[in-house]
Amino acid sequence: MYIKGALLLRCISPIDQDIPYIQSVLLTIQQAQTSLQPYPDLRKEIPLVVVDHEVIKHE
Amino acid sequence: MSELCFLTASELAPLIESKQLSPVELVKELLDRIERLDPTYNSYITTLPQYTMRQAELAEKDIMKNSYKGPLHGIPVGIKDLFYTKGIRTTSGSGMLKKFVPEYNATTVEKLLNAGAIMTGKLNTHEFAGGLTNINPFYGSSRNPWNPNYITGGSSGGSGAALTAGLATIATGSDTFGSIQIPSAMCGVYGLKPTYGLISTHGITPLAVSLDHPGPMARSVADLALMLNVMAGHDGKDSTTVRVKIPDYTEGLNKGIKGLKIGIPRYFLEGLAHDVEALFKKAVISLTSMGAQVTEVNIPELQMSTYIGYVVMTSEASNFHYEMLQSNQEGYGPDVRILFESGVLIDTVQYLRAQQARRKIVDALKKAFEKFDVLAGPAMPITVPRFRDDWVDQNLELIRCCMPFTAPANVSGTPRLTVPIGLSSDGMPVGMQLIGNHLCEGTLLQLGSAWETAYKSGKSFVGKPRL
Repeated sequence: MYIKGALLLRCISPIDQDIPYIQSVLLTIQQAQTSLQPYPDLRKEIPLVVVDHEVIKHE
Repeated sequence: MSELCFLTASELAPLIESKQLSPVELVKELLDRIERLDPTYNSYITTLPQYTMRQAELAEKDIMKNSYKGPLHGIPVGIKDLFYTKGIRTTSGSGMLKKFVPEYNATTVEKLLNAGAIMTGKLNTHEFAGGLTNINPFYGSSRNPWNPNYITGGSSGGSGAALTAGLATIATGSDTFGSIQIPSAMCGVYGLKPTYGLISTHGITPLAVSLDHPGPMARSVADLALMLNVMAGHDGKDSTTVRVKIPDYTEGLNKGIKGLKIGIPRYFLEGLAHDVEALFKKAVISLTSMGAQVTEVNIPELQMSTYIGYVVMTSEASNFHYEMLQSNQEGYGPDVRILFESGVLIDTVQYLRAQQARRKIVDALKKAFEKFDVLAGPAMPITVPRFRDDWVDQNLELIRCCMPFTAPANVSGTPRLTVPIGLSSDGMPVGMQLIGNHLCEGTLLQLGSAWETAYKSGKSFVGKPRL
C-alpha cells in the first residue's frame, strides 16, 4: 500500500506487477543500510555532491 | 583474412601508417563479418555500412596524401548507443528513442572521429544503461560470443560482444555501477573506467550524473591507452570534467611491475564462486611472481558501497526519468522501470546520507593508496550466467550480486581497469578488477600491460572464442 500511495503522490501510476519488485529493491537498500551503523557520526560529514566549478569559482 | 578483424589498433596502426594496409580493405573485411555474424551476437543496434565505407575511403585518401592523423586513423570503432551521434539515430537502448536522431556528437565521439577513427555503428546497450544483463526487450539481447546461450553482461554488452567476435577493433563504453567492468569480464576483453571527470559525459544519455563514467573498451591494454589519449581531457560543455594535463598514456606501458604494491581488500574475497576464487588466487600468485608486492588489506568502509551505489544510482536515474515515468511508464522495459521507480521512493535523508558515506569511502581509499599503488579483486563474484526466461528477476538479482564489487570504484570516482584472468569450468571468461588512486590511470595501464603480456604467454590465456 505504501509503495502504491507513494508513487501516486508523485503522479506515477503504479503498475501492479512492479510492486513486489520495487519492494524487493527497497528491502535490499534497507538491508544495505545496516552497513552505515558502525559510523554514527556520518551525519556530520559534508555530503559529497557534484560541485559545478564553472559556477562556484575559488580563484 | 578474418584474422585482420582480430588485430588490435596498436597492431593495425603501423600497417595503416606505412600504407601496407588500406582502411578500406580493413573496413570491408569487418563489414562482411558484421553482416555474417552479428545476426547471432546482436552486438549492434544500428550498423552503418555505407557511411562506414565512405569514411574508410576518406581515411585512405588522407593517408595516401600523407595526412596521417595518428594511431586511431583508419581504425574501426564501435560506439555504444548511449553516445549521441550527429545525424545517426541514438536509441540509448530504449524503445521510446527508436527514432531519436541527435543534432550533435557526444564530445568523445567527436574526439574519436577527429582522430581519424571510423565509426562502424551503434552498439547494443541495456535500456538507458539501467542493468547488467544487456537483455534488451526492444532491440534483442546481445549474446556472448564465447557461447550464445550466455549473457554478455551490461550495460556496455554490445561493446563486449563486438570486440570478442571481431566485429569492432575498439569500442566505447560507459560505467555507472559496473557497465564497463561486467561486460569486459564476461566477454574476456579489457575495459577502463577512468577517474570521474577525466572523460566528458557531454552528449551521453545520463543514468546517474555523479556516477557516470565513459571509458574505452578494447582487446588490449595498449589500445585502451591509445583511446584514453584521445578521449580524456577537460570539456567546456561538461563542468564536471577535470582540468589536468593529459599525459601520454602509452608511455609507461613497458615499465613492468617490479616493486608495485598491490593490496587485496578482504572485502572482495567474500562469497566468491569456486571458479572465481580459484582463478583470482592464481592471478595473485602470478602478480607476485611478476615482482609485485601483494598483501591483503582491511578497508571496512567498503561495506557501505552497496548502499551508496543503490541509493545514488536509483535516485539520480529517477530524477532524469521523472517526467517520462509520469507520462509514459509503459514505454520502459519492466526491469529498468522498477529500478527507476524505486529511486523515486528514496528520500532526501537517504540520498544525503549516502553522499556522506561516499566521502568516508573516498577518504578510506585515499588512506589505502598511501600504502598501495593498486587495489585488486575479482570483477564479479560469480561466473557468467546463462540466459533465463525470468529476465526481469535476472537483472535485479545480477545487480544485487555484483553491486558490492562494482560500487567501490564508481562511488569513489577512482579509476578501474578490468582484465581477463582465465576461463571458468564451463568455458566462460572470468575477470579481475584493478583500482587505482584518482588520476593514476597510467599506473593501472602499466600493471594491465604487464599482466596482459604475462597472461597471453600463460596456459590460462582466454584468447578468443571459436566462432
